Amino acid sequence: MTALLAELFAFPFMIRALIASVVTGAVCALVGTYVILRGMAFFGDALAHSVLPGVALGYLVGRGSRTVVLWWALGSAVVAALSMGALARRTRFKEDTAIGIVFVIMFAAGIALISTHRGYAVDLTHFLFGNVLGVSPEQLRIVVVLGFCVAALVLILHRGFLIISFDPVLAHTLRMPVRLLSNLLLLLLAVTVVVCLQSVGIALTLAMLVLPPSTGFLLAQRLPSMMALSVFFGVLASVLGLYVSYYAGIAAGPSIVLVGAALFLGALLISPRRRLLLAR
Amino acid sequence: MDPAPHLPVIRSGMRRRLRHQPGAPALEMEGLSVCYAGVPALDSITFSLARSARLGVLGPNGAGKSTLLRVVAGVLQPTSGEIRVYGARPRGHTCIAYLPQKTGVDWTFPLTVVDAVSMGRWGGWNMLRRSTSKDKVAVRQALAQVGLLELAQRRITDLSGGQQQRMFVARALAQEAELLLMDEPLAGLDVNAQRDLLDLVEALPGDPTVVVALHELAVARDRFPQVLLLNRRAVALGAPAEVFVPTHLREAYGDAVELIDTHRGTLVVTDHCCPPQEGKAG
Repeated sequence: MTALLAELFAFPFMIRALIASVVTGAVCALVGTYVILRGMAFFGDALAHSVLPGVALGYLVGRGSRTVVLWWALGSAVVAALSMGALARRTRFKEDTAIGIVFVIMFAAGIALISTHRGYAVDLTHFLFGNVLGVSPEQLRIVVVLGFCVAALVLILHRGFLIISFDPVLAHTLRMPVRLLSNLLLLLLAVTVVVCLQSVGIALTLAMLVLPPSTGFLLAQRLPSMMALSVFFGVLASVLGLYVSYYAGIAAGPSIVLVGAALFLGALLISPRRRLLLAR
Repeated sequence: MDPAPHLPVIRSGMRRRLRHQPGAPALEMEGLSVCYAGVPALDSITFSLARSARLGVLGPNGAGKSTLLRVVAGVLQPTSGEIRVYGARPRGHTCIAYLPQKTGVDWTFPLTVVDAVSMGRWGGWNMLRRSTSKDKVAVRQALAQVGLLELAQRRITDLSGGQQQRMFVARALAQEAELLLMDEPLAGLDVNAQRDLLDLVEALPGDPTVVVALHELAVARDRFPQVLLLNRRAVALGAPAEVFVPTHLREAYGDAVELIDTHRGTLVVTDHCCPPQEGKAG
């Protein structure tokens, strides 16, 4: 059994994959806590899809360098995040409409860019569906550094994020920098989406943002324990998912997500609040 | 569940960004107007409120009660006019506590009562540091003062409507607020819970200024020394007996009230708010 478990670590690419997915799982879980508490799931999904034009342009500019692609993806996500925020604030559209508008423009632009270049299609699939086994050492460094920054900021500022989420008026009366904090949360989400690119990909980023925190929400009574449990389930899903992927021969991204979903369903069954949920 | 007003008020550890001007009223407005997309929600409001006053703000739905409170809280900027809190502009104070409507917050948040009350201590950059023992003492004391100490570890979603409002009062006490703005705190409370909450507000330690938006004319008449009748404009301000007279009530509520003269005064039948209720004035 031990040999079976250790087998994975014989390959350097497997170790890199494991580190990348653990970082992804943990960071998504932390940021995802606010995603589900603030009802930002659609925003998260839209943001994940909005990196596509950045990915395509980065690919073109960097002549196929995956590292360059990550930075362009980050720029794309930041632009999308801030435009969605600004469009919702400055127009009378409902927030989800504003998000939808930016989402479709960015995604369509991305696909349009990709369609201009034949060589794109195969390589860019990696970003759509993730390719954690193909993480290069350089990419891994970027993922770890970005992930660490996001996690540190979320932990340092968690009181601010909590108050602007729970009672924004209180944040105003306490003289918190409300606008700064809400924009920062959007930016952190944008960075998180980029961290996810390589492991679960654009299409399944939302799963990592939503599933582990929801599992934590079911089992925890307070925010700190919810965050801790989310991280635990995010990391567990990543590690187990990689094993399942390796031994069952399915793609790593969906495998991680499906394990995360299984953990969620398990929590739903044992949750003390299950009856309450079902009764609604 | 009785409040414990005999406990001393702790004032420590909270940095005030603005100095209050000595002798200035708690709240002053001069020609204050607020427009939403060109439509006035408040129109040329002028009044001043002494320190430690208890003011009930009444008016039909859409009269601008919440807008008024939000301007004072510094969340909304007035379109024109002046507003001063303890002699200074509202933004910059940390002594103002806004107690949201029941529907204003998400009660499914994973928070305990003590977590929610502790938020009152996180003003400004305090959010970056760990809670000190002074913070913890202040929070415990605030919980004791509103009678929620036993429920401190309860999740906020499990509180009754009255307990939720008391929790917000405790948060304001922990914040060491000197001006409490309560937005329809009585909505959805039964008569007993309403009475308990009003008793608590009357006996608040530290004698803060309190402004309460409410719908119940009878409650305002019985429990508030001063009332403001609002319908975008300030219709009348003063003692309930002077304010709740037929001309003012008709001006504020229009056809929504039916006034019946009885030998004891004017009986007001309102249907502007759900559930329909009766109140007596005059």
